[in-house]
Amino acid sequence: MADLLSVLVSGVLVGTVYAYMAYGLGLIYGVLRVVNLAHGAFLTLGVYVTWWLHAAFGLDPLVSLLVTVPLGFFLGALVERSLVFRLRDSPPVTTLLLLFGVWLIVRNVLYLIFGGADRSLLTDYSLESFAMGPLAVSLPRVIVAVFSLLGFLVLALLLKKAWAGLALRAVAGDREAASLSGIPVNRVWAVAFGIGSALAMSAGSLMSLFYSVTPEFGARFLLKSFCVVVLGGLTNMGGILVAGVALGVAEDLTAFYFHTGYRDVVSFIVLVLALVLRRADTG
Amino acid sequence: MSAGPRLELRDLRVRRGGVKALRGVSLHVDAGEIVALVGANGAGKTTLLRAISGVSAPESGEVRFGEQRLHGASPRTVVKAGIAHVPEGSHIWPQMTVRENLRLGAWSRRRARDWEGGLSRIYRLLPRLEERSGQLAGTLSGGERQMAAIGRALMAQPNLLLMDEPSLGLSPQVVDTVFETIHAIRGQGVAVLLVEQNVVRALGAASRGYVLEGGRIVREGPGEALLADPEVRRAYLGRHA
Repeated sequence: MADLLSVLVSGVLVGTVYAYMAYGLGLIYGVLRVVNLAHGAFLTLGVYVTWWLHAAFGLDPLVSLLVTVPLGFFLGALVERSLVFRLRDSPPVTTLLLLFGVWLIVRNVLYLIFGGADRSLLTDYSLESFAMGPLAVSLPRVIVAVFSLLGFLVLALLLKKAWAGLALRAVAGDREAASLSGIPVNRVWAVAFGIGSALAMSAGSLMSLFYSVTPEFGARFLLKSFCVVVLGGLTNMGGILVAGVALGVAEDLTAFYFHTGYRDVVSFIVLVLALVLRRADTG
Repeated sequence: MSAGPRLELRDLRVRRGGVKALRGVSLHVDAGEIVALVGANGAGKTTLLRAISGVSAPESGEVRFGEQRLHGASPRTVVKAGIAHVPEGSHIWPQMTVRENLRLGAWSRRRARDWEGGLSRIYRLLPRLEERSGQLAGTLSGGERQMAAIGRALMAQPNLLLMDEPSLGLSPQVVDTVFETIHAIRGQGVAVLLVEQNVVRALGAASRGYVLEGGRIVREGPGEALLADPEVRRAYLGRHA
């Protein structure tokens, strides 16, 4: 019983960072109607930058958030301005392929520089855990969950209260009305891409605490991001949080009852089911 | 109240998808005036409003608002210059509250930090919106949506309001409210350029009117004169006359 409970708690904790990692994908889709396959590139860059800052300067992954958040914003806005924006009137598949190309370039450059070996980042507290009643809870997972929830909270406040947040929602909801109200739609696109990429890169920082660092990191978690976003409803923050937690729990239960090898199959199955059910939803 | 700037279009030409939608339109709207623009579907009324507000770029011609030349300006510049646009079909944000919708209308004035002052003025003009302020705009009735769209445009504190078919699809009583609101807006010194399919109401409310046909102005004059014009009556009022 205590084992099962441990698994549930651990699944919930990982699920929060799944939600955090996925939200940027939903935000960018909502505002620009673009499926950002470069999301995988930003996730991977996030883990590598964090790993490198730790290896070279001994920087704690949580401190490296101060680098990955602004760097992600800058790189994301740059990709939007220099590439995506030029294709704004082309069919969606064009941007899809372009961003896939960005991801391939980043992945292969990382192979070139760091090679394909799995690396891991170990801090003083990486293996710590503490007892909560009968449960042993991993400390890094709790820290990562707290940071993810804080990130979500800040973002929710931004979207609800700040002019910039309202502008993001306005462009997502009705581009024409936003434009007629004097909102600079082009600039909002760049900001949305910047925020989405900052979320992905900083998610990489957080996740470096318990996942290995490889150029394929983005591939594995892009798929999970899709799963969360489709299940949670694209731009719906509450829905994405619930979906992230659901995926985290489902994965850990699968690993617990069947085999850890099946963990990554869960997101495939959930993604397919979510797409089929959503399709039935919308008729 | 000091008179606002005068809108003046000279020989405005606009293409839409390669087709000449406006073939040289000249018109003007004086400060504090209600001007009606009527014409059949496809005559170019909406294109004209979109060209003024900067959504579509004119091919040639001139758009002046007071001293400012707005030809080819972005919608943002046009809003800042004092022209707000209430688009056809209201285009409010259904997933946002009425208050958020109104706040976004004040985007161009966000640095002035007085949008809440503007909000209370809008609530005085359109009290219904205050009752609904916390509600999602998607839950409003058709008339209330139109009011929210008008309120949102007024939040920019314009001197001129462009209105595209504000009475479309509304019941006769609600149409009355919309026209009362238009008069109240004019009463505050804001000029209105009104595009309407309801020719009788529009020309009745307006001090002057223009008839647009095939992308050209074919008639212009005081509202009552146009209403009495046999050509206009035959073309647009067949069923009403």
